[in-house]
Amino acid sequence: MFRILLLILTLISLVLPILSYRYFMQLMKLVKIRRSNFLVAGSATILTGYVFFMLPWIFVGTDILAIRVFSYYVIMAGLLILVYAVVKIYIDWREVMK
Amino acid sequence: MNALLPLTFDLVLSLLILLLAANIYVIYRRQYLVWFLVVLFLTPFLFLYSFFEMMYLSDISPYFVVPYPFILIFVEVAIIIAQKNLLASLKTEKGAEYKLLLREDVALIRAFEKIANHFIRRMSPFVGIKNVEQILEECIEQYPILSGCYIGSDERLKVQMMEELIGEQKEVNMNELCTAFSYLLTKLIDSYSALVPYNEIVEELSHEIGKIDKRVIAYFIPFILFKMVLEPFIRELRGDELKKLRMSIDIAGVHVNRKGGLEYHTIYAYDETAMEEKFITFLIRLLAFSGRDREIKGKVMEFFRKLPQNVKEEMYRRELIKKLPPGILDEEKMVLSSKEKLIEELIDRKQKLEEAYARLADAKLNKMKSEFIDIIAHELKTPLTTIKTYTDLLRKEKLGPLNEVQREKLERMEKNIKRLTKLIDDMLQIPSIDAKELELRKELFPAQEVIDAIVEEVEEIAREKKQAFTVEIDGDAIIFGDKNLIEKAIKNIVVNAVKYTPEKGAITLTAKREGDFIRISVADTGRGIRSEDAEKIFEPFYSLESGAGLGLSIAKNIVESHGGKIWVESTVGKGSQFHILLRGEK
Repeated sequence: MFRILLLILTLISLVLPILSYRYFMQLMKLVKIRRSNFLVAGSATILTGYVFFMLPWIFVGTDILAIRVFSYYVIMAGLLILVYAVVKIYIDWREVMK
Repeated sequence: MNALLPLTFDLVLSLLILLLAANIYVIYRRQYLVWFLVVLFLTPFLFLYSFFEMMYLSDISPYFVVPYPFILIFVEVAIIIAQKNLLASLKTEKGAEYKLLLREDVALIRAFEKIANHFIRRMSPFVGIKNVEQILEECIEQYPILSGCYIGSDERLKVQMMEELIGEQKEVNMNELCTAFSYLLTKLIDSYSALVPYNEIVEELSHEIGKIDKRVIAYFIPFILFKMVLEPFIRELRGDELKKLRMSIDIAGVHVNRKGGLEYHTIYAYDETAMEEKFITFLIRLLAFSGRDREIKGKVMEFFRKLPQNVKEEMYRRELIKKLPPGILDEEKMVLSSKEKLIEELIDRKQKLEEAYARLADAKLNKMKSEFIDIIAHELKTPLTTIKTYTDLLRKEKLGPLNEVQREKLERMEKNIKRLTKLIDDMLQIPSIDAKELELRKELFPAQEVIDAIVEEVEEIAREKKQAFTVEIDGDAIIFGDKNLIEKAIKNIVVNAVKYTPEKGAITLTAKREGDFIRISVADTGRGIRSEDAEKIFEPFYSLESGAGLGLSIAKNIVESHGGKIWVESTVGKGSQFHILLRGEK
């Protein structure tokens, strides 16, 4: 029961980014944000890390430390990509608003 | 395996992202950014929770993992809401931006931005972007309207902020904009001219100006005239010549600097014509000053020819080339003026041709009408003559004796034959009178003579209708004209008067001298003529009642062929008064 609940919640959290991506593409038609691809890549990497994080709980019902650590690293990689993108956006926007 | 290290990193990175996003929100306050901030605010908490969950909670119960998907779903929903809000907001902003782009002042700013950026791009590697920024700051200080401009990180001039500021204003002074931007361009070109020959700058300017929006090209004309046509020559002057030029040529709004650069931007304060006048005045004074007429003219022509097509078209439109002093672009002036003359001549010829064609068509129609009437009349007259001959023979009883009834019917026949003959005679006169080919045998004769003859003819009919017939003739009413034709004209009017005046009516015939003219009037107490018919009754075949409708038109043609005038005054129900004005004895 617990694992099924986790599976359903994880599936929902995987479907929602698809909808989010649709809006993101519409946004990019209006604003040509440089490094927008980095935003997508960063978010996708974080989501992959989250999936890895949830996998032992869904399929085994308990935590596996090695996979947890691996997922933290994957999330870290995603966050690094996002930091790069956000810094770039911040610089561009600051220039515009100067 | 230690999970704390990557988790700590994750926490730090998420805090960093939150910090940057908060900074963006501080400088660019927009409602939709709040949702992004909420999302980013949650992520460090997620990692903090993960830390506690891993250290203390997961051993107690696996259910402590459930908050992860819930938090993630919340984060994702927040991102979707933020994106939706951003989308809606941007769509409105984009609409506003499109509206902004349609504005002439924004088009002008962008045109200046393009040219300025061309020079900034070319010169910044040599002089450094700091110097360019310094020039811009100086210009902003001089002209605060430029305050929205800045040099971006890509080392280009940015005008977005200026556009936004201008977009808020309903009306922007275009001259002020032109003055400010041409000052900036002058400064940039001056700096750039230290690096490359001025002729090359003109080439580059020509290339850039060729790409300018058609809507705003007119604002660049003073810039082009001074910077691209005059300055190349001035810059070639020797040091002493330049000094003399600076001292001797003094025109308000135009200034020659020490390097030979022209500072002219303040002339945007004047109107379009005054700007051009200043250019022409400067050119004339330059020619007078240097004594190097041919050389200057040659240079000016050379640079005029190099101008891009859109500028040339604008100059032709303004007729600026025509205003140039003699010797400059004479060929172009000739082409322009001969083109105009040719068009004028073509218009004139077309008008004349149309008139001639109308006359020809009219004459042709008249000729056809005359020929038709002529043929019909002759064709009718021949059998009528035969009929008349036989009725004469019958009446004279050459073909046998007649009884009383036959005699009566024969008299009626003769009467109708007479009417028909008269009608044909009238018709036969129309072609000659209509075509104004009437041969007039003019002589002097008293009006009394023709009027007496007419009265004698119509008196009997008037008496039958018990009409009062009055005649008043001045003794000195001597007419100069064709007696027979004038008698015919007057008779036609009098016959009509008798015919259309009811029984016991009154007809008055008068002939009076009025200076050099004789006025003959025929007044009756008939039913009168409506004002709309007053002109038409003189047209051939126009009849108000029974009749061919030829009498009055013949009278009119006779009178007019004598240089006279005929008209009618009438009141419906009271009667009419016909007037004929003819030349009298001199």
